[in-house]
Amino acid sequence: MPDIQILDLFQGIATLVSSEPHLIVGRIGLMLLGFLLMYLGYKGVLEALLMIPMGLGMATVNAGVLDFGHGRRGTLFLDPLATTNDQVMTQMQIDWLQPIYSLTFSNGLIACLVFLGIGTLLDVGFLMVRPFRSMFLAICAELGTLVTFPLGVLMGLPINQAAATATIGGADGPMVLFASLVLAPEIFVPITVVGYLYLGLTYGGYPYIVKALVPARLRAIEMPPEPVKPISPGQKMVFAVVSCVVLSLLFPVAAPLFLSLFVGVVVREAGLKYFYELFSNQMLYGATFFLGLVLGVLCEASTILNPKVLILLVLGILALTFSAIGGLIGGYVLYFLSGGKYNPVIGIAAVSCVPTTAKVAQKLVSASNPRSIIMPHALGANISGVITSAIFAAVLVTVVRIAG
Amino acid sequence: MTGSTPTVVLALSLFSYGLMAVIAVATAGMISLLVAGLSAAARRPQTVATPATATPVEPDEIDPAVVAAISAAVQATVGAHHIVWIGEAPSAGGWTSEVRQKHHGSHRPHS
Repeated sequence: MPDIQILDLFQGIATLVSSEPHLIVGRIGLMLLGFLLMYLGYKGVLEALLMIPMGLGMATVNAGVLDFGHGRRGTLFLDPLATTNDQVMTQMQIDWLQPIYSLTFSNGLIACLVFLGIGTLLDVGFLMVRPFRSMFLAICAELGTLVTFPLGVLMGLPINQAAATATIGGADGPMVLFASLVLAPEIFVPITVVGYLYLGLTYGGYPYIVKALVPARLRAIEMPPEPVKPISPGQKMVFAVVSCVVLSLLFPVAAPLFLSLFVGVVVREAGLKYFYELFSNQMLYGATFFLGLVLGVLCEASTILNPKVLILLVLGILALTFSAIGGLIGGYVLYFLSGGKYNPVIGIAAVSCVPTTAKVAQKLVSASNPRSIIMPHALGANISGVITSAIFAAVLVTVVRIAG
Repeated sequence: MTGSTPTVVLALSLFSYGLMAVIAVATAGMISLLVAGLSAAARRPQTVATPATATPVEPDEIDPAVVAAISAAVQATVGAHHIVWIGEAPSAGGWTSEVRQKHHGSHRPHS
């Protein structure tokens, strides 16, 4: 019988106890955080579709660290640090999630697939009925990105990393992933994880901001009936086609995202039901599942424990808080301009977390006045938010590249 | 990219925000123009050849009881109207269905 140490049999425990103290704390802390995310997802506090695969991935990857010999440690999930062609090809034959990571994450494909699915869910008619009001609110709700960008530099981040982190203020997960891959690939993992964590929190956290800033009597305002011009599918398609081409002409760096979003809109409006069913169901939910799982697996302690994570956590929450405040300020401006007839809560829906913030707005308004229906207005602002976030991310990427 | 001062970055941030706002407002303007233009085009009277006769056509495959039920429902909902045609909505094209069936059945070549 060879001399076998008990810890040699159970490598996950062996690598845990033999790690440096900060990694021991980090691995245990991330396992517990994974459990917490799963629990909060299950309870509906956080977005379950994202948090359940992400939480389990996070807990498991930190449990499953093993020794590969020659002093190398890692997991059989994926290696985000594999960069050369040889390394990537080798890891693809070893790590089971490496193909998903290398072929869909690092080139932004997964962000585009999610955006394509979101495009099929967007009825741009809500925006086209009242374009100026919706766009005004969406511009206000980009306040978080405006404020967080210089704050990030003040807190010591280089300009590219600060700009990538600031896109969290746009509250659009695929956009954060895309912008961080283009602007700051060296820290895209923590930026994206922080971004998605906080986006998951909007459903639970934003109601507190709204209740703090909008009194109950204003939350109860009923939107006056107004003549609504019917928008035909043809008009929506023309809008999508023109916007896609013009925005791509202006910002080629974000053209893949624009195409993904607007081709989804066109598929919906053209009545291509087989594509519509594919993109809005299997494609969107498949991409969301792998997005959550891979993000969780990327949270391995030795990868994610970066001194910048604390700064990113602070900036992320500031970005989303300022965006919410900006949206509500926009709502108040329209409230005063309309002589007190506009419900200011609609402003929160301009933070483009489709359709979460629109649902938050309607839920809060219904709690104050069950007869008040603001959903069409909220969805218009919501869709405008997606478009302004894409524009702002594209502008930032272009400007930062020129400045850099 | 590390040498930028906070003041320069603040200016960059404000510039980017302003540019985003201008493009967003321009997009809203484009939407308004599109909606107005396409609506006006749709309202323009079109010269359509009037059919010589407009007699109700009842496809053979529809049960007369179904036709009667649809006619009654139309009468109850929108009042007295002359029903010109009753039938299934036109499909996207027979060839697409045929190709799809072949594609779906391609893994059962002997069935």
